[in-house]
Amino acid sequence: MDEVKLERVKDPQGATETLMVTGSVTICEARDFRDALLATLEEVSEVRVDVSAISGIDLTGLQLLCSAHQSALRRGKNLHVYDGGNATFREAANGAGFQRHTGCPQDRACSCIWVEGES
Amino acid sequence: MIDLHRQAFKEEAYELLTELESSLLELEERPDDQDLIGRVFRAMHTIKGSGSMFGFDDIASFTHEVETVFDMVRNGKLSVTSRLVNLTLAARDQIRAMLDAADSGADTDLQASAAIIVGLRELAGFGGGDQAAPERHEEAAPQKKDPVTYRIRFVPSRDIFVTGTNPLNLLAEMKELGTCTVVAQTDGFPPLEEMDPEGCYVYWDIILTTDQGENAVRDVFIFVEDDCDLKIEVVAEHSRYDEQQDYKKLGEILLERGDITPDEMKAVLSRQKRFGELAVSEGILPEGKVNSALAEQKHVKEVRQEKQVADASSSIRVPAERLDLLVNLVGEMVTVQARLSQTAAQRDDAELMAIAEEVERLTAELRDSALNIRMLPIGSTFSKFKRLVRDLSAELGKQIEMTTEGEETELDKTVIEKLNDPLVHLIRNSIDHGIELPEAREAAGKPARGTVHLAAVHSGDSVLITIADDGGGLDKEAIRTKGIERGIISASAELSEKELFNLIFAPGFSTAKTVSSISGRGVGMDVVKRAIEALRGSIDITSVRGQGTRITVKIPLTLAIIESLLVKIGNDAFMLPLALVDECVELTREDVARSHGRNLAHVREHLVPYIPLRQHFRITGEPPEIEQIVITQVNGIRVGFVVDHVIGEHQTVIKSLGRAYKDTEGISGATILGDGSVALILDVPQLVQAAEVEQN
Repeated sequence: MDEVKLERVKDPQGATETLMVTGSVTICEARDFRDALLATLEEVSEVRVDVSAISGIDLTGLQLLCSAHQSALRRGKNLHVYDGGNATFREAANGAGFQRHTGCPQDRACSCIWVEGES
Repeated sequence: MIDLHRQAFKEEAYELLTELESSLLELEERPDDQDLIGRVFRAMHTIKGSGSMFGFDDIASFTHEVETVFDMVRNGKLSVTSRLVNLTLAARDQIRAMLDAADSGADTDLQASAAIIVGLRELAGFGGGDQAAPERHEEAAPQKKDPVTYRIRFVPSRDIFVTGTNPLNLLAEMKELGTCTVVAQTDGFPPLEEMDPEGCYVYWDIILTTDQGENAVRDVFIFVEDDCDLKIEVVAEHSRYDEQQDYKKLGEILLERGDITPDEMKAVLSRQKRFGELAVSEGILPEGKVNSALAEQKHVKEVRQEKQVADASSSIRVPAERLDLLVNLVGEMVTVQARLSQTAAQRDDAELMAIAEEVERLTAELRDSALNIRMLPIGSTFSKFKRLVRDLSAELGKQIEMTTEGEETELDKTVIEKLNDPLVHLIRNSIDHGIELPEAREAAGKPARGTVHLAAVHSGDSVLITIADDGGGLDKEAIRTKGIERGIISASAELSEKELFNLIFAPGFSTAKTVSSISGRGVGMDVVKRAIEALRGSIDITSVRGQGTRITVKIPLTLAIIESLLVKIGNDAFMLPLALVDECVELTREDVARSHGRNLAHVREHLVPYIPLRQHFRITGEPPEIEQIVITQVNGIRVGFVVDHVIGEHQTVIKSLGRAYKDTEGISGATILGDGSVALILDVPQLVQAAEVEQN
């Protein structure tokens, strides 16, 4: 099992910060993942979560991503998930039934991370 | 009573199977035609439904399998391939065999049924290898339930992860049960900072369509059932019988699930406008246009409903025997009417004559409409041949397309039935001997795909049926050689093209070098010719080497009544079918003396052979001073029949001679004249043939 690595990369232009997630995001790392998401969200208003290089993600990880997105919206901030076509990520999201056509009630800006074609 | 219903079911099923066959053949050409797919499905569906109603359980369960596959086709889950069409055609034949067997009590070939079912299941993608054995299938059938759609709400407990259960595995298991749509609900998520990263906040709505039953669904959740909130509801039972209309509207689903209250829904709905209103309010369309479109919609709906009612009452099913009885009665009527007219003319009674004329007019109308009832379009026979062409060409490795024309041409039911075998033979000949293999065709500069064209057209009181192929045509030299070989013609005989072609109708004549299963046993064309002549028809061939052959069969419209020429020899009356009669000429004693014992008459510079019927039928007595020759034309050859007197035209109602005289040569039937006496109907082609044989 690949160990998860969470790395915050500041965009040269400033406003956006990318949270690079690599390895396998499972329940064991869930607490770390939540804290990293929360910390990033606290500090910047444009968050990009890059999961394009993950090798696994379980339900806790998917839940956290969704919740982070909802929290960002409540704070008036933006959170994007970039999967770069990562098959592992998409299969996990599909299998858990996260893929959908419209976002949740919080998603007024149509930025739901699960709506197809978003990422 | 039950037998009566079973009989009705069988009749209906035979008709449906015929329709099914033609639909399938059309489907092969147009695999995307939803209308055709629907027709196939409905035919299967009806056979299954009424089959099980009348106790044809084996047919019902077998048909069910085929229907299932077509249901998938109808829903776009399976596409129409030639393998599917082949299997379905085989299934259709099997159902037919089962229907046939139901009467005789014979066993149907269970092996064949099982093989077809396995094939269909493989095609449909739900494997069938394990159910190949027929006895297994019998058990399997009742176990297999109709698919049911369940709505499952699965709300796991918060600490489900900690107990080591992964809900994703449960979802994956569900997906194995059938068609499954999983929707994760995320509305209960707390803000990130309050979220327990190891807790489960998500819950699922799952829509599952499965034929495994509710228990199988519950089994998936067996280990977590105590720790979660599980709700399983049936939303739709797809008894495949009823064609499901559109599925419930979105609002109905939400209401059923309790996600929205009726009041909320009403509030939302009141804000929603119909498409037409929206278009008007947005200014896209003027109101008039919308109203007109709505009117059109309503109109079409009404018309369709009316049409359905009209369709239901526009035809009735009558047993053929009753029709035969009617036609027989009309025949008697015609006879009596002739007698009435004759008597009235003899009495010279103006009043009686007027009545007789009235009766004559009515009888003629009655006769025509009674005969009309028996008329059927020949199209059903044509579509049978489509199957024949398809199967045979596949067997022979030829590419052949059959085109038809004039399917709506109507012929007497009996004639159509009796035409079937001869036509099958002619078409087989075209496919086997006529059309060449694709390579040979291409070498000859013709398209690889050959064509057999079948056409029917009315011509006077006859119907012309043409079978034309674009194959190699008849080989005149081969026919000639064979004719000499078989001793049918002499080596020095000079024959016209027509005479040469007619040789192939001689008994035992076949030029095919090898005998195939399809034709070539030399028992073909003479049988065909005899069958056509038994229908008082004629057959004619034209052929161009390398371009194809055209065979034209001329058949009278009906067998029951013919126009004929009444003649007398001594005291006996005879009839000749008027269609065959060309003209009548006199034969004097001097003429007979001049021909030196040969039966030849000079008619306008031409020699016409004749048959003295008085001698032929060994009628005693002296012929009159001046006899009459009735000159007939059969297959382009003019032959005269010598009789004492020609009486005139006559409407002849044909009566069979009865079983005892079935094999009488030279006589095809009898009729009753107005005075009650019997006249025999001459079988002209047979008489000509017999005379030819005698001469050789």
